[in-house]
Amino acid sequence: MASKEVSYRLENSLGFLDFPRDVIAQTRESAYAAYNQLAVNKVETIAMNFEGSDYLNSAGIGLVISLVEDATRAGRKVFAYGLSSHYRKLFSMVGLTERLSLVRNEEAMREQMGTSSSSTDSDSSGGGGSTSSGGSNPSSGGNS
Amino acid sequence: MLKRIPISFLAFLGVVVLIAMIAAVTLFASAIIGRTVLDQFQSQQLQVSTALAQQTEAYFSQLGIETLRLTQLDEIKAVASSRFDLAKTAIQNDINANDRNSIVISVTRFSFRGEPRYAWPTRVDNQINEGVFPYSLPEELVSQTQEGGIVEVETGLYQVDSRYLLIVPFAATTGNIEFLAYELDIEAIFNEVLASAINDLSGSGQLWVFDYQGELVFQARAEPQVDVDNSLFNPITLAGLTETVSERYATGDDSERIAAFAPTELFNRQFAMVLSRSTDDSQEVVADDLQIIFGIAVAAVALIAVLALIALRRIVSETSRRRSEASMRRATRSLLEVSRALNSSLELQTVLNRILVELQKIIPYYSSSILLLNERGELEVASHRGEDTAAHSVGVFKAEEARAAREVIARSQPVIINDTSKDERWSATSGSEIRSWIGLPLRVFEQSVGVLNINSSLKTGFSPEDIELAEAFSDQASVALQNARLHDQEVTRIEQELTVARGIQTSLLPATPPNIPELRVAFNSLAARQVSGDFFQLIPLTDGQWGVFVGDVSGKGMPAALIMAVMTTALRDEVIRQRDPGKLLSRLNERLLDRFLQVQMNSALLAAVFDPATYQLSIANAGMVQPYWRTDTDDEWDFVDIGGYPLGASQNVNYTSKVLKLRAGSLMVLFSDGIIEAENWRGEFFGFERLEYLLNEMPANTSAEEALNRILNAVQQHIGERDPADDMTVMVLQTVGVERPTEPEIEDLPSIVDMVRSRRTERPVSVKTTEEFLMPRENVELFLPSILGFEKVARSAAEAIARKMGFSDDRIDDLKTAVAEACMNAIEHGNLEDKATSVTVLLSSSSDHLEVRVVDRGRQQIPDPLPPPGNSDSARGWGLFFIQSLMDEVEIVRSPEGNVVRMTIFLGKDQDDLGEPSSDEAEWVDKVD
Repeated sequence: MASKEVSYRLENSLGFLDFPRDVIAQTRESAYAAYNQLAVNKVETIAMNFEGSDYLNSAGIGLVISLVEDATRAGRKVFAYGLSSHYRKLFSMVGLTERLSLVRNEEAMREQMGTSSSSTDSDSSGGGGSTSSGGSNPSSGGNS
Repeated sequence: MLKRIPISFLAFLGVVVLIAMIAAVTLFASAIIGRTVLDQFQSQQLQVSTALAQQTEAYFSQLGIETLRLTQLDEIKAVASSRFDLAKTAIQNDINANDRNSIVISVTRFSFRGEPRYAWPTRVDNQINEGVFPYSLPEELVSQTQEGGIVEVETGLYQVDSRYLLIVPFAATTGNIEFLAYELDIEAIFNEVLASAINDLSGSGQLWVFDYQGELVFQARAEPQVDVDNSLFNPITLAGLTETVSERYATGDDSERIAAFAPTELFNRQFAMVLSRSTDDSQEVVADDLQIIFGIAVAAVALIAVLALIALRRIVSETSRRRSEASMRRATRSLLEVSRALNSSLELQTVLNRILVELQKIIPYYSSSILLLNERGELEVASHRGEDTAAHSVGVFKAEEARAAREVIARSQPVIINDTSKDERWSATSGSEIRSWIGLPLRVFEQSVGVLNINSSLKTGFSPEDIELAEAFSDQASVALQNARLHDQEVTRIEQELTVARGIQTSLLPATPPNIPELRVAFNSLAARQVSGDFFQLIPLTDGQWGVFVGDVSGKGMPAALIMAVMTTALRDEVIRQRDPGKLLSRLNERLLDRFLQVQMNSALLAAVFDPATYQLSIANAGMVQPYWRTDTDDEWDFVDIGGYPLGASQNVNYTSKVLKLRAGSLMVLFSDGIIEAENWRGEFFGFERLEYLLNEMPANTSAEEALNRILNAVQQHIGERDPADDMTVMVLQTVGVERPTEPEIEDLPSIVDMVRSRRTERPVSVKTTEEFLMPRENVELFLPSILGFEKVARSAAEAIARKMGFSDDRIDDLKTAVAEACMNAIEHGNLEDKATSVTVLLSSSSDHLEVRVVDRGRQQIPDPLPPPGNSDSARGWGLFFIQSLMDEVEIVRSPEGNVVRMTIFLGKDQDDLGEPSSDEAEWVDKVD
C-alpha cells in the first residue's frame, strides 16, 4: 500500500521531499514535518520528488506553493521533478515556476545543480536553470 | 496465630503428652502390679524352698535305703574278723555303685558296744587298727544296745563333734544290734541336692540350710548377706518351725528381703531350708516387664503417632489439594461465567462496564478502571467502578502521566505495586486510598490498547492467586474488548456504507415538492431500514409536463438503493425520449431486464405524466398498488384500474397507458404496498378497507399535505410502536385551478452560454446555437457522497467519456482537474461535507462537446464575485481558478437550492493560450498516469 505521507531524505546539503501518490489537503501535515526536518538540517537545496504522485488537487498545489515560498525566503534553492506535463502546466499557471526549477528527473536536477553552481551562485530564485546537456530542462528558464 | 504453628510441631507435642500419660499410667500400674508381684514372688519363694526341703528329704531317704540294703549283706552282718575284708570290699563296692564317693567320707562298722570293728576307706580302717579312731558313737545309742541288744534303734542322723553321721543299726549274725556309720560330707550333700536350685539363684538370691541347733549347715553363696550371728534368724524360732513360712526383713543396705523357711526332717534331725531374696528382684522383674510394656507402649504410640502424622499430612495435603482444586474450579467457573457475561454484549461501553462488574465477583477490589489509548496516545478513562471519588471516573492522562500504566502498555505485561507510597512510578491523587495496585494489559490483536487497573486500599492487597486470576481475567476481557471493537468497526463500516447508500438515495429523491402551479404534490417515504427500496421521482419534461413516478425495488438496504440509482438514471434518461408512460415502462423493462435477472431483483414502478395544459394524467403501472383518485370534491374515491408485471419480471411485456381527465381539486393517492401491508400487533394488515374508509372520510377541501398526513397518521396508529415491516411511501397529487403561466421561450436557453462568454472575454470561445444545445446527448449521472475523495469517481467518469469522445490527453487532463475541483468545492463548501447529502454530477456528451454539471445542496453559496485565487494563508482557493482556466466554457449558477457549476469543453479546441511552453514540453516523455 502506497504511503500517504511525505517523506524526506538527506544528502549533505541536499534534501529530498518524496511526495505520495495523492497530494491533497491531508498531505499537509506530513509535508510540513518532513520539510521542517530538512530545515533543521540546514539543507541548501530542496528537491521535490513527484515521481510517485499522480494526483495533485488545488489544495496539494497550494501546499507546494507554501513550501516553496518558505524555502525561497530562507534562501534555499528548490527543484521539482517527476511531474506530468499537465501538472507542470498547472505549476506554471500558479507562478510556481518562477520560484523553483522544474526538471524531468533527479539526474537532470543533479546535472543542473552542477551547472548552476558553477555558473552563478547569485541565482537564489532557482529560476535560472540553463539547459545543460541535451536540452533536458524544459521549463524553468523559459517560464520565469 | 494458630495458623503460624506448623502442624508437625503440634503432632510432636501430642506424642510427648501421650507418652507422658503412658508413663504415668505405667508407674501407677507398676505400683499396683508390684504389690501383686511381690506377693506372688513371696509365694513362689515358699514353693521353691518347700520343694528344696522335699528334695533333700528324698535324697536322704534314698541314702537310707542304700545303707539299709548294705547292712543286709552277710559280709556286713558277719562279726568274724575274717570276714571284715569282705565287708569293707562290699562297702567299697556299694559306695562306688551308688556313686557316693563325693558325699561319704567314711563308713565304719561298730560293734554293739560301740567299738569300731573296721572302716572304709583304708585310711580310717588304719586309724582303727592304730587305735586313733577319731570319733565315738553317741552314748545313747551304745547304751541301748549294750543292755540287751534287742532295742529297736532306727537309722538316724547324728552330729558328733563337727561330723554328721548317718548311723544305721542292723542285726549282726550274733543277734546283736550293731551299727554301720556313714560319715557324711554334709556340705557336699547339699551342694549336690541343691545344685539346680543354686544355679537358679539370681540377683540377690541366697540359699542356706540351718539345723535346729541354729547352726548354719550350708550356704549357697560364699558371702552371706545376712548376719546369722546377729540373730537375724532365731534358732529357737527355727526349732519351733513346723511349716513353711516366709518373713520380710530389712538389711543394712536399706534393701528389703524375703526369706522363705521350709522345715525338713532328715531321719531324726530337723533342718530348715532358707531361701532369701531381695524384694528388688521382684521389682526388677516387674520393672523389666513394665519397661518392656512401656517400651512397647511408647513404640506403639510412636508408631501410631508417625502413622497419624503421615495420615494427618495426607489429610492436610489432600485437603489442601482439594481446596486448591475447588478454588481452581471456582476460578474456572467464575472465568467461564465472566467470559459468558463479557461476551453477552458487543456494544463497547457496555462491555467495558461489564468487565469491571464481573471483575468484582472474582477479585474484590477497592476500585477499578479501564484506561484506553486514544489516537493522541493519551490514556483515557473509559470505565470506572468502585469507592473512589467521582473525580477518578473521568479524565485523560497525558503521555508523561500514569507511568505505571504506561509501563504495563510498553511491556504488555502485568505490573504490580504492593505499596504505592514507596513506588516512584505511582503518583497518587490527594486523598487517594489506593495502597496497592495491579495493572493488566488489554490487548487487541496482540497490541496493548489499554490497561485494566485493579486498586486495593490495603498494602500487599493481592495474593498470588489474585494476580494469576487477574491475568486470566484480563485475557478474557481482552477477547471481549477485541470482539466489541471489531463489532464497533463493523457497525461503523456498515453505518458508513448505509450512510453512503442513504446519501445516494437521498440525492435521488426530491427533497421538496416542485413548484408546479397546477399541481400540488405532497410525499413522504418511511424506510423499514436505513435505506429504503421505495422511491419516487418528479421529473420536469418539456412543454411544462411533469413525470410522476413511484416505485418499489424488491429488497431493501444497499442492494435496493443501488438498483434504485440504476432505475432513476435509466428513468431520467428514457423519459426524455419516451413520454408515454406505457411505452416508457416497456422500454425500461427492455433496458433493465438483464441486469434485474442478473441480481435476481425487480422493481415495481407506477409512471404518470401530468400535462398542466390539459389536466390530463397519462398513467401506466408495472406492479405497483393501484392508486386511488377522485376527480373533484364531490366525487367518490375510486381506484385506477391499471396494472402489470413489475419491471425485470418478464421479457417482452407491453405496458399500456390510461389517460385520466382531472379537474381542479382532483386528488390522487399513490402508495407502495408497505401502506396496505402495515401490520398491527395482531398481525392484521392496514388493508384497502381502512384506506378507502379513511379516504372517503376526508373532507371535501382536504389538501394534498393534509391527505398525506391523515394517511400516514392512520397507518402509524395502526402499527403502534412496532417498526414498519416494509418501506412505506405515499404521494398525494392535487390539481389546482390556476391561470396557465406563460410558457418559457426556448430561445432563452443559450443565454447561459452568453453569460459565461461575457465572464471570459479574455479568451475566445466558440458560440453554440440553441439547436446545437438541443442535439441528442448521452447522459451519465453520478451521485457522489459528500466525502472528500469521491471527486475521483467523477474525475474517472469524465475521463472515460472524454476519451470515448476523442479528446486529447492534455484536454482530458484539463477536464479531470476541472471536474475534480468542482466536485471538491461542492462537497467541501456546497454541502459542507454533510454525509447525508450528495453531489450530483451530470455528464452530457454530444458530437462536439462535453458538458459537465456539478450540483450541490447550496449549504454555502459560491461567492460572487469570485475571490482571487491563492489569497488565503494556506494558499488555497485555486479550484475555481483552475476550472475557469482549463475549461472552454464555465457557468456558475447560485441558488438556495444549490450551486451549479457547468463546464464545457469542445472537441478540436486546444488550450494553447495558457502560457504553457508546449515546445519544450514535447521533449519530455510523460509518465503514464
